[in-house]
Amino acid sequence: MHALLRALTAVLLLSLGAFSAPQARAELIAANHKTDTVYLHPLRNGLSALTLVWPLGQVTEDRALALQAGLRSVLFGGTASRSPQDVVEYIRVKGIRQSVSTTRRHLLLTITAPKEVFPETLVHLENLLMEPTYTSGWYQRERETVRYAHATLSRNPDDVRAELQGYLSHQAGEADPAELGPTFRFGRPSQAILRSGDPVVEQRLAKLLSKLSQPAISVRITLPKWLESRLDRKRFPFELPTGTIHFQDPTSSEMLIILARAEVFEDEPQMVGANLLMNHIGASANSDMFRILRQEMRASYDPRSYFDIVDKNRAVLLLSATVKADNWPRIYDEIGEIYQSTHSGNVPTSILTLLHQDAQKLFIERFFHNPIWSVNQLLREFPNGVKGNVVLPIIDAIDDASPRDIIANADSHLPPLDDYLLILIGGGPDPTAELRANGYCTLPPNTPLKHCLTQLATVAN
Amino acid sequence: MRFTSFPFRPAYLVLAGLLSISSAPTSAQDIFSVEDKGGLHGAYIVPIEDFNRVDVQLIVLSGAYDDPDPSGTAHLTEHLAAFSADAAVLDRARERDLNAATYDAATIYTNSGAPEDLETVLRLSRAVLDTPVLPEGFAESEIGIVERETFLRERQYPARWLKRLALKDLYGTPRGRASSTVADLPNLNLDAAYHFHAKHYVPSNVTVIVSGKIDQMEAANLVSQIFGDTQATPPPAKPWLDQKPDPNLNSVKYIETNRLPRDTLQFAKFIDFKDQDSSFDLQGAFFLSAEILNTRIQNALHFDDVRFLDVEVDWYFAKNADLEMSLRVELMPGFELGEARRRLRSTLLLLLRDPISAEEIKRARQKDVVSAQNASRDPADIRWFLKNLAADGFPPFSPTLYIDMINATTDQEVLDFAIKAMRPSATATILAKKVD
Repeated sequence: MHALLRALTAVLLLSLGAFSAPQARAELIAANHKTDTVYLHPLRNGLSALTLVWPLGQVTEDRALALQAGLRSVLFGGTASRSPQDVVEYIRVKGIRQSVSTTRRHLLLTITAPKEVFPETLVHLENLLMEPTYTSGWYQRERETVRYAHATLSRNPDDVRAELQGYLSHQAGEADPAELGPTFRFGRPSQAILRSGDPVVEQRLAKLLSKLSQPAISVRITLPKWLESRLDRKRFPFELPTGTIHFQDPTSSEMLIILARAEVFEDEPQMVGANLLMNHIGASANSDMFRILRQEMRASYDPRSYFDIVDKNRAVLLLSATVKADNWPRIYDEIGEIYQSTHSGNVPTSILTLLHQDAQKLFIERFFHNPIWSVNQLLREFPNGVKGNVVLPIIDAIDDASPRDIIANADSHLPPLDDYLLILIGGGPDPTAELRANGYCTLPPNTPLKHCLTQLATVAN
Repeated sequence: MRFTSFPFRPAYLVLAGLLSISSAPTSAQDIFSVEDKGGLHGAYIVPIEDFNRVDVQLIVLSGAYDDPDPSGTAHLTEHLAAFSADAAVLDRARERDLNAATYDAATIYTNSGAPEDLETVLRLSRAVLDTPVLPEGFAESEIGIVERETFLRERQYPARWLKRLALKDLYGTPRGRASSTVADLPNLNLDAAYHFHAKHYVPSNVTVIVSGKIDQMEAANLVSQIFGDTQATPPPAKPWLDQKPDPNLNSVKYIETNRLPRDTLQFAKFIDFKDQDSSFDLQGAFFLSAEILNTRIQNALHFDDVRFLDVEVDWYFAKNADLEMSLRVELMPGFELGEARRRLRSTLLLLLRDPISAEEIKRARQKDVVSAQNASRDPADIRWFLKNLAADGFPPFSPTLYIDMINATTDQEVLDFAIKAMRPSATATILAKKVD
């Protein structure tokens, strides 16, 4: 069966390896089938938005970053008729915003502009995609722009989150240099997700899509659901190792403590319950971490929890605090006690009810104002496109969540504390033998976390 | 195929109501001054129907530039006043957003909530002016929290540290417009903070801006009711406004650091508008000139030379018409700092060699107008607009009024301002080499 899976995967990836005629050395990124167009509710802030989605396949982190840099180069590096300066002047005069991002399976370009200029925005986009003329130097600069900031340098939980998500989203190992550009072209996307409601825009989009290149080889394989699911599991193991990653800086007066866990949930209600419980632990000034670590122990300015949904029913749960270096072992123990307290259901129903209401409001707010967030919701549920009217299960789960039931079953929503990876960045005493027992990796300076994540995972396996 | 997940679900009946409200998301934002404002420096009402929320910004017109010795006192005071106000007004866990921040020339407390919470939100804002009262030991230990925050910011945002170094060299002092935030941490103390509160958190040094889904008269009455008893007193002195560098200064310093991700060039320049006492009437020319000059700098250093990774230019036009420019560029690997400095220097020297054209001014105007229109779509951006000029003690500008100001500014005013801004004046440069 493994051989069959590999063969099918290889065929599916053909679409990413094709080359186009006009620029012989440019790699064409394009779907090998007609683009599925999805229409979402228009935004509520006077803006229209379009997201083009290209399949990313099973790629390394380097390859994913190279593709982002390539797409950014297309957007900003100039065209046959517009210099880079002209491009930027145009988008500023029109109020256009462009964003490049990736999910675990897709490369996304989201373009947003005021409704009244959106038709001409699509003409501009067509020009960018059809006639890019960026230079190698421009591309190299974009590569530098998109690379991750090392968490050992910034000591910023956001940079740790980005590195962990990068690790969880892409294949391990180094990319073949031939996969790293410098020249990419972006042809027909697999999906186009539009938020406009304007028939003129819809016509303009259809025209744009029809002009975009597609690979010479046009093969579409539809797999049975069970096999898709199996392939998906094979291609995207979603786990962080346990153990301890330690970057020691004897000169630092501070220590950043991070506890992280990549969790696969049974279903959306399980995940929503975990999300609300994590919010109770550390997402606001009402939270246990803020109340205990900051207001009572006076130990940290920034204690908090994160719940980063990365894919359908997959999320990274993370707790963090920057504390005085000498004091970190005590605060680490306290974070554990706070977590265990919520894990055992010690949560006032009134507070979780409040957090539930906040989550409902936030979902609605984001859906109508944040096109990138909305597209991610859709793609997690329907990564290969969708037809017909649909309801996202996450919406039901948020609506139907019962704070009382979540508290009663808190230990089934949250993983045990022992399953978390500990990351220590800064000064203070070394971790105890007990904290090293499940695996220990010393991170060198200016080195990505991936170095230790791979090492710990290898040891564990 | 259409994705329409909402019409059949009860939860979205509420949404349907919101939709009709937000059908005109860029409506004009008029600003009304409150007459019965007690001793406040200013109080303003900005009705905005587009968002179902209310925001109160209480602006203390003193910030880090007003720090006594030690630096960081304004920041510590901000923490103490925020928690004291919470404790005085809230009798349960906080349900509203709280945002307090110490800027260079102001300290701003933002309390937000649903429209029906306006009175509570105003009372929270008013309590910031009362002498902080906190549980025994809490205030003292808040010094440790400020220390943690300062170290955290220093590490996460090394650009702030680099800018501070350049400003120290520019002004020749570690106080006032420059600061010694980290070096002074061991000297932070409550006496200085309480003294700072007594001196600077006085009504005559405070502006209140209420914005959101509010009835103008009702909001004005509430402001009068809650702030009407405050008494006007002389506002505190601002010695930092008298800090002027040697006009012939051309400081260049080379440092090595492991704090930065790559080699970086930090530049600072001070321009004295000697013939002006106030920057208020020059604001339109300032914004348009800065836009044009920034575009020219970006063209030269970013678009025409891929060895420069990123260029960030900040302009600060103080209330007394002192202009400060800060510029930071990160370099691509292999690009020498000395060469980058020579390139920057020649760029700035020749920046106005080609006269600014009417087309450039027209473009700058368009960009500023579009930027303001976009800001109207987001409550946070509107708050930023409102506080920007108000933080210098001027009346607030909404995006709508900002557009009026930009359109009323003449081309000649823009040209005059740009020429003054780029004439030779005091500069300080830091060449920061990244080392491991």
